[in-house]
Order: sequence, then C-alpha cells, then structure tokens
Amino acid sequence: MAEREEQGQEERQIVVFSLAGETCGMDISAVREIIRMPQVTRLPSAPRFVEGVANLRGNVIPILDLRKRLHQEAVAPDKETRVVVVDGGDGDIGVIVDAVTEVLRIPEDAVEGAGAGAEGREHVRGIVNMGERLIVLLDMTKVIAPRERDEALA
Amino acid sequence: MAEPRAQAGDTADRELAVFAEEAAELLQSLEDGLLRLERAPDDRGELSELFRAAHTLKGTSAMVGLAGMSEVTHVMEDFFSAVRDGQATISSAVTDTLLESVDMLKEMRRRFSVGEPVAEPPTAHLSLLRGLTGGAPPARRDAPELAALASALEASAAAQEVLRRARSAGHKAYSVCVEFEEPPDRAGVRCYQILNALEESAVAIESVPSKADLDHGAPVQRFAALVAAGVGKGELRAAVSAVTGVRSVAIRAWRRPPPGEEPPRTEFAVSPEAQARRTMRVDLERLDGLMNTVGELVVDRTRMGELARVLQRKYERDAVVQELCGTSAHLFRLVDELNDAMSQVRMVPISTLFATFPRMVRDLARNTAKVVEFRLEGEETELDRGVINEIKDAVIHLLRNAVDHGIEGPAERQAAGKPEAGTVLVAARHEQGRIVVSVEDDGSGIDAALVSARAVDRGLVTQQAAERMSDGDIWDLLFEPGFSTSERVTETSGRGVGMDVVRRSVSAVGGLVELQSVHGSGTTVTLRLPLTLATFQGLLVRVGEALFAIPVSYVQETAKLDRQGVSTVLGAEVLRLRGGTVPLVRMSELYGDGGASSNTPGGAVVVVRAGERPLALGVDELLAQRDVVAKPLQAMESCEGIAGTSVLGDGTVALILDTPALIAKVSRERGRAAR
Repeated sequence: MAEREEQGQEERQIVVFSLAGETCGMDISAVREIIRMPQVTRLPSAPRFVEGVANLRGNVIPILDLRKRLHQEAVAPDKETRVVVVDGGDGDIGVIVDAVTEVLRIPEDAVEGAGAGAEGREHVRGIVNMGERLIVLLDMTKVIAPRERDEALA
Repeated sequence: MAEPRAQAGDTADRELAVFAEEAAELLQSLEDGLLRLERAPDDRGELSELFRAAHTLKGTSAMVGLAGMSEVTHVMEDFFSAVRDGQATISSAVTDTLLESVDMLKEMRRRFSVGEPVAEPPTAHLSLLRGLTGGAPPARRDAPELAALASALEASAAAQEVLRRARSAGHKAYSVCVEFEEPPDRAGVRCYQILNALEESAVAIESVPSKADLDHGAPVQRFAALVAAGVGKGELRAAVSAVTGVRSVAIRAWRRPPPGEEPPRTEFAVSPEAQARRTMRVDLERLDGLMNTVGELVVDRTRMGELARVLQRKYERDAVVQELCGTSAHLFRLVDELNDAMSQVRMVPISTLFATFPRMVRDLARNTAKVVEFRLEGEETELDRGVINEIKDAVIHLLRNAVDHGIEGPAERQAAGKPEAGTVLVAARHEQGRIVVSVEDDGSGIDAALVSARAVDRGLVTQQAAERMSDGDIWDLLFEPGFSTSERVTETSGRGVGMDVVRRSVSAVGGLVELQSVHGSGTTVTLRLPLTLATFQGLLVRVGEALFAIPVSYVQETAKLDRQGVSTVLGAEVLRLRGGTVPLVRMSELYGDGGASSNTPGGAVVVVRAGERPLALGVDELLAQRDVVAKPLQAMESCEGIAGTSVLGDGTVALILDTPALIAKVSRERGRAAR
C-alpha cells in the first residue's frame, strides 16, 4: 500500500467495485453504506432496471440493478453480490454491484475525462488511471437520475 | 440510530430555536392581519393585533441580536400607531410595502434559524417604510437597542442586582450605544474591546448582543451596553471612541422605561404572559420520530400476538407460556392506547395549512390582473399533521389552478354576465369520519368535449369508448399521468396541470379525489381524507410471490373466487354479484409476472370501491387484516398503481395498492361496457 501524499495534492476517495468484468468506482461521498443482498420485493410497472424495494432497518428503499441500468447482461446474485446504498437526494437508493473490492485514495489528477459524458457513456464521470489498471469512475447522480430521460435512451 | 443529542450544552440553541419559532408565528399573524386590514381598514381590533405582533417581535428580535429585524418592526409599529391616531391610512399600495417588509423579515428569520448571516434591511426599503408614517418624526436610531437592553435587564435578576448595588454605591447607570463603520470589520472583536475599555472605569451589566451571542460570532452592526460607572459620560465616551472602527457613540443616563420607547397606550396594552403554561413546544422531528417508533410498535405487537397464539396452541398447559400470552395481550392493549394517544397529539387544525393561502391568492390575483374574492371555511377542522404534510402541495396546486386557470379576467367575466370578482372557496369539514377538503371556483369550468377529444388524440381512449363516457369518466381522464402535461388543455380548459400528482398524494394517505365541473360556471375539486395517517387497517393479499395491502376503507367485501361467478362481457371478465355485475381484474395479470397463478384454485376476490365504481380484484390468497404503517416509496417519484409500501412484522415489504388509480384505469379501459 504505497500511498504517496504530495504537497497540496487534492485527493478523493472512491469505492471500487466490479461490474460485468470491468473495474468501476464511485465517489465515497455519495455512499451511505454497503450491504449484502437483501430480500427484494418486486415492484410492478417499475422500469426494467429497478429490481424492487427492500426493507433497510424500517425504511423502504428502491434497489437498482446496475448491470441492467448500464445495459449489461443480468446475473443471479451470489455471495459476492453487494448493494451499495447511495444518497439519492430524495432518499436512499440501493445499487446492486457484482462485488465491492476496496476503497481507494486517489489523487485528483489521476481522473481523466476520457470519454466522460460521451454518447452511450452518459454515466461515466472519468477514467482513473492507476498505472497498470484503469477504473471507470461512475457519476452516481446520473446513474440514479429520474428515469424518464434514460428510458428514452434505452 | 439517531445520535443522542447533547442535553446540557444546547440551552442557548434551544432558546434561539424558540425565538425562531415564535417569530415565524408572529410574522404569519402580521401577514394575515395585514391582508385582513387591507379589506377592512377601519378594524381597530385588527390594528391593535398588528401593533402587538410588531411590538413583541421588536423586543424579542433585539434580544437575540437581530438589530435589523428590530428596526423594521419598530418602524412598522410606528406606522400602526400613526394609523390609530389618524395620521396614516391603509391602502393596497401601503399593504404591498408592509407585506414586502414581512417577506424581508421572514427571510431574516429563515437565515437566522439556519445559522446563515443575516443581512441588514436595505436602507431604501426602510425609508420607504418610514415614509408610510408620513410626517411623524423618525424614530431615534438607538431605540431598538435601548428596548433590548431593557428587556435583557428585565430578564436577568443577577443584572438587576448588580445595577441596584452599583446605584447604592453612588454609581450612575448609562446606556452606551455604538455604531460601527461599514462594513463592520471583525465587529465582534471590537465589541469586546469596547467592553474592556468600559470596564476600566465602569461595570458592564448587560449588552446587546450579549457576550454569549458575540461568542457565537453573530454579525454586528451596532452594539449597546448598559454600564454602571462612578465617572461621567465624557470619560466613557473617550474610552469607547479610542476603539478603532467606531463611527458614533451615544451615551445616555439610564432610565426605565428608556427614552424613545413610549409605553404602549392602554388601547394597545401588551398582555403579559401571566398564566401558567399548559402547553409546551416540541420539535416536530422528535414528534415524527416518536410517531415512527409507535408505528413500529404497532406492527411488532401484532406479530408478537400471532407468535403468542402459536405458542399457546403448542404448549397449552405450560404456565410460562400462559403468562407470556397474558402479558402479550396486555401489551397489545397498551400499544393500542399509545397509538390512539399519539394520533391525538398529532391532530392540528387545518388552519396551519390554510395560513399561507390568503397571501398566495392575493399575489396570484394581482399578478394575473384578476379580481378574486377568496374565502376560507372550516379552518378549525383538525386532522393528522402527517396527512396535512402529504396533501399540502396538492391543495396548493389546486388553489393555483383555480386562480390561474379557473377564474377569468374581469372583462371576460363581465362579458359572460358574471360578477367581476371571481370567487375561490377553500373549505374543510368532517363528513362520515373523514375530512373533506374542497377547492371551489366560479370560473370558466372545463369543456368535457374538449377533454375527451384530447384523450382520443393522445391515445388514452378509443373514439368509441370516449363516446360512451359519462362526465365523471371524463373528469377522471384529467388525473391520468399522460394527460397532465398537455399545455393545450391547460390553456383552453384551464385544468389538468399535474392532477396526477394530486391524485397520487391523496391516494398515498388512503384518500379520494373527485372533480366536478360545469363548463362556463366553475369547478370543484374535493379531497376525502382519513383523519389520521399513523396506521390504517389494510387487507393483506398474496398475488404470486408479492404481498399487497389494500386499505380496508376501499374494501366493500371479499369472496371466494369460483368459475360459476365469473362471466365474460365484451371480452372482459365480470363478477356476478347479487344480480349485478362488477368488472373483474386478475391482479396477477396486472402486477404479477403474468404466470400461471391467475387460475390457481382457491383464489379469492376483493371487491373494492372508490366513489361510485366497484371493482373486483382476483387475488391468489387472502391473508389477514392488519394495522399497516405506510412508508413512502422513497426516491421513486412514480410507480403506477402503487401508493406506498409497508413493512410487515417479519420484515417483508408489502406494496400498498393505489386503489382509486386502479379503479379509474380499469374503468377507462373498459369504457362503460361492463356496467
């Protein structure tokens, strides 16, 4: 764990997770907690990527399948599957990911804007270049944005 | 778990919170009073209420260091005096200025309550406000500070004692009022420097802002202190003037009541809060937390009762189990009582919702150059605060619609042979154990033919179905999500903006919304709401793997579902019921995966009714009737057919059926064929 702290270097922390074979990340400030797959109640007439709702200590929160949200093939949950609970503005929202691997501290300038926001990559905020590996940094506000617009894109 | 709050350290915070809350009430009564006075300028009682509100606010705001608020309310108070003495009069223009002041004060209060810096009132507005009083002499600049010092002194026995001792030792009391250069640079520090300078030759008894407020870093434009000194004014002045940043110093011998602060005349006597307090204020967040906890208790006690019964069957003769069952039954009753008491605590008069309406209607009408006679009825009707919160936006929305789109302009009204002023009535009343809130206008109404034509255009109904529709069916179309965004209908018919949102929020609390309109002569929207939101009785049903809760207020009856009872009319299933027929919908087709469960033997039907239309819902299994605590569907603004969710005793989530929306949908899809 060689963490370099340069003088005056802005840092950010990201939660790193895997999704459909890619390594992705999201800003830790959006994350409330990370839980195992809860029991999900299906929500009729909800968008395809909404898995349903779940009881999180007495609060009922919607659960999104990030694979379906990003038009990847859905898979059945296994013991690695995690739900990242993020602040959705109006309330918390759970996001299903394949596995959560680590929390990384990265220098601000490691985030490159490559391809961010481009056609088909509306949910990408940037690419984190960590030398030997690349992390796709997702813009969670876009991921959980009101669905009407994105339905049109889907 | 919520973090335990520090109990001891936040006394000052709590006092500030009490001020902020009281100020909000006073400002609201100022606004209401101004609106009433505008219509009845000769109402002496109203005038004296206004004076009292301004006077109280002047004192309390000065005490918490809000010199700007104190100054504005002082000028308002002067104006009300002038009106009383016949030196000034009330007009719409004057009311505009005063309402603007109230808005400004509201913003100050808001900023103060959330800890943002509070800006001084703009000089231009102050002089405009002062101008209202006409020739009356401008108030002494330091009058608010002097008043605040007097209040602070009155509030502190210790300070009075210091003053008494100093006086008996031959010292004299002075007030020292300081105005800083603008902008005040580190004024808080300057205040301390001034106090230090004064204390070299005097004893500081009170100050405004107080030391505690200075420590909180409240921005300061002006500073005042009450001191007792053996030396003269000159020496004090010299000491204070030596501090940098001081623009002017005013030192006066202290007298009570202080100069410039005339005691209010008897007509305006400020009533002392002499009576012992029988009520107390509670933070709404705490109340909501308590209510949530009670809600969970209700759910758990139901679950516990069930478990106790299971145990009892299993170990009938076990004494411990018997005792457990007894205790459980007792707990059951206690929780019931607690729940009822909680509902009572949460009952508030609907005037808390209506309070902002007169101002809103006035401004809307002025902006759209309409003349609107606005009336409120049944403001004292009580209902659950939670219900009020849920429907607040809906009612505001309906009111806006009524003024914006319902009421026509004066010329148009005259041409139609109506009185120039349109009437909008918002009323609340009890009716058969429910609260009915209606928004009524005598405006242009809605053209039913246009609405149905539009619905056909948008593919919501077929031409054929549209022709068979009753007016009631047509009004239902206005509540459809697809319909609401249509601007053309808004302009021509004057309705339909966000009515789907209105229905959703009303359904979410288990209520109903109805619309009636006569083209050319007005529209009435009626909300039927439950008295309380805390818990409601829900019928739990299973559809496939999903659990649904149907509020029993919509349930007419339940029955077994057998083949013989079902017929097909025009390709749609109906249930034969005592000689009549009711449209039948299999919930598995609507909400399930469309799997095989729809023909499961042993299924049941639930006949629901909203308004006049019954509907039979085919479900797989009837489970139980339960107390249900509704949880909003967070962060999901729309999910058709679902009004909310509820967590059951074992932690599973049941979906609360949006019954009225479902009935409307089926009724629309089938036209009138099934009747």
